[in-house]
Amino acid sequence: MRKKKWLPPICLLFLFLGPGLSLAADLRFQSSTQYLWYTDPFKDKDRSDLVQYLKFGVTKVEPTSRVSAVGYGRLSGQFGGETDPRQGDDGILGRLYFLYVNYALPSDHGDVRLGRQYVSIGAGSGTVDGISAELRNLGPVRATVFAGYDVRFTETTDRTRPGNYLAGVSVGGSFLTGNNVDVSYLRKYDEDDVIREMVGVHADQRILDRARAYADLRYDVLHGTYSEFLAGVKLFPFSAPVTFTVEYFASYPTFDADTIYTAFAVTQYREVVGRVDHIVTPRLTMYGVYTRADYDGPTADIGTVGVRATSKQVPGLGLNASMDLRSGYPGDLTGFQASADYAFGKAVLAAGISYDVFQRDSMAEDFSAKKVWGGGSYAFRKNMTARLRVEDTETRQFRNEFQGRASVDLSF
Amino acid sequence: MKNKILRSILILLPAVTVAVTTYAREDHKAYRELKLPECAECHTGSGIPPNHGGGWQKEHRILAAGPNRNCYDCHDQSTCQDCHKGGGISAKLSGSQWKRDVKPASHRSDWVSIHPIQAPSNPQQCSRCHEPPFCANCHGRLNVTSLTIRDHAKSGSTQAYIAAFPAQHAAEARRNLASCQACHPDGNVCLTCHSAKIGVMVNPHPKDFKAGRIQSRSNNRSCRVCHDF
Repeated sequence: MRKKKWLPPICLLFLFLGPGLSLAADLRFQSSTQYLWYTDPFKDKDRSDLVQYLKFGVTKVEPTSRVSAVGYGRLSGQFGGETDPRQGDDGILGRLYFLYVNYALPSDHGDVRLGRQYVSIGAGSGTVDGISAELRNLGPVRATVFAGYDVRFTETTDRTRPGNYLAGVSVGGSFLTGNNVDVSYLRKYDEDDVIREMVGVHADQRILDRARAYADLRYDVLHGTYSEFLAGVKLFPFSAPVTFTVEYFASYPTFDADTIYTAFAVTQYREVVGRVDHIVTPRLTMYGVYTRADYDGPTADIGTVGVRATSKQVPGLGLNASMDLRSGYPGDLTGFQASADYAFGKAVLAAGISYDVFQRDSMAEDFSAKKVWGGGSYAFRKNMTARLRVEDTETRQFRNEFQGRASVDLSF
Repeated sequence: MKNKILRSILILLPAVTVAVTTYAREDHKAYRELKLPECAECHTGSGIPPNHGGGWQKEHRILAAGPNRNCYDCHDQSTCQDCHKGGGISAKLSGSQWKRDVKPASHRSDWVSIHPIQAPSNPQQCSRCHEPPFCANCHGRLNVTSLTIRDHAKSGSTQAYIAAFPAQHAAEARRNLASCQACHPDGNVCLTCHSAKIGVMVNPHPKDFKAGRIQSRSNNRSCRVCHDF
């Protein structure tokens, strides 16, 4: 019997929805039906997908309103011409992003969640089919704990397997004025073997209400070395919202212990970042970033400047633009991105362009790539919007890839 | 003894009271409809720098994973999953896509061609969203004669590793080992030289390699590939 990959998520979705509907609880749905078309880069053939997203929330299930349930997933089917064989026999795929019941603890002391959910602590993050508890407002102490099957998303599906688990705990607190400290631990299993064991340490300190210093460490217990280290300071010395950021980041890439790459020598990556953000007015924000990257020998200089603006003279008009310059290892890039959107009445029009000239490697020649896109939306009703977006990318192989998305979004 | 306890309580009580009242998490649910620049009105001079700016994509990791996070006051988990796992129920007009999955804005223009430049910059960044098979899904299907990699220069009609430059191969592999894994997911090609069982037996381990924990916790799983136990 052939396995239908999309069936389990749908069954779970209805299992959760059933009790909510029968109790006449407050239900909210969000749906997006999308028709996508794109070029398969390997087959050089046009493909089309029909995708159905559904997100829901159920509240007021019982008198105290402590219990709620939320879910989010999608079904997609490919049709027309030759379909990708990895889609399965029926060509329908399912992906369940989250589906859990939430119990809110009294006095806003936290939440307990049961089901599929996204979990994140300083030592790592992931998606689990399991249980989590987040405790807060217990004096200065906060804590997070979770455990469950490790959900791994692949291109065609998401899956859990017996023996693959993810568990973590985080304990933190504010013990001095303007201070946060957090220690976390994460463990990942594959076929009952520990393949990742991490400790995370975070500390930040507010300084005279004009600066914040922070440090964040991820330590790989299996490899006996740090994995990532970040230290920085944010300064906002003026009454105008100007923020200066200086950061040092170092990374020592380690691998899960289920692969032989876990035992190979790697080198450090380090970078120093300087950044300025300025909210000039509520209608104009600007930023500039300079990064000096060190690949244990070769280096690169990377700069970005950007601006976001809305127009007072033309209400509803918004502009975004940024420019990037990169020089050094492993390649160079000069590019810019710009986009504009204009909202009038129930409609929004938007368009953008992205252009890059790049050299991937000192042995390679210069290439350029250009992407232009345009689209619009129209709200037929307060809870119903149609959207259309088309995009044309001229790739470095001087080939045009045309893709687009037409959708109808509902909420009720 | 009783006095000591009483004194300790008297000292600790104000500290705990201050901690409970001062460090209660700020509830942002009431502000979720505000536009981002408007947030600066409160944040200026409050000791909390404005966020969600141009660098937010890179910066948010620390705050979102931190103990004092308040992301859920305004967002649900779809905000995380839509970027990290390709969901698109709230896809903006500016949001591009890769097949069915929505692509983040950092994946600029011809990202398939540009990503080799970005991938070595903090190699762990890719794995925050992509499992290792994601790379192999594409790289395993590539026409290898079309690659332009420093140590895999073209040799006739093939893309063979140039054995004449082993030092360069080692340096490149160490800087971005994930790129090796992208085309050789099980690492079999590495074993030609790096196995302890066959071939020239070149030791690939770092100088201060700590094998103990990997051996004991993962049941010698990766060790057995190259070593006899």
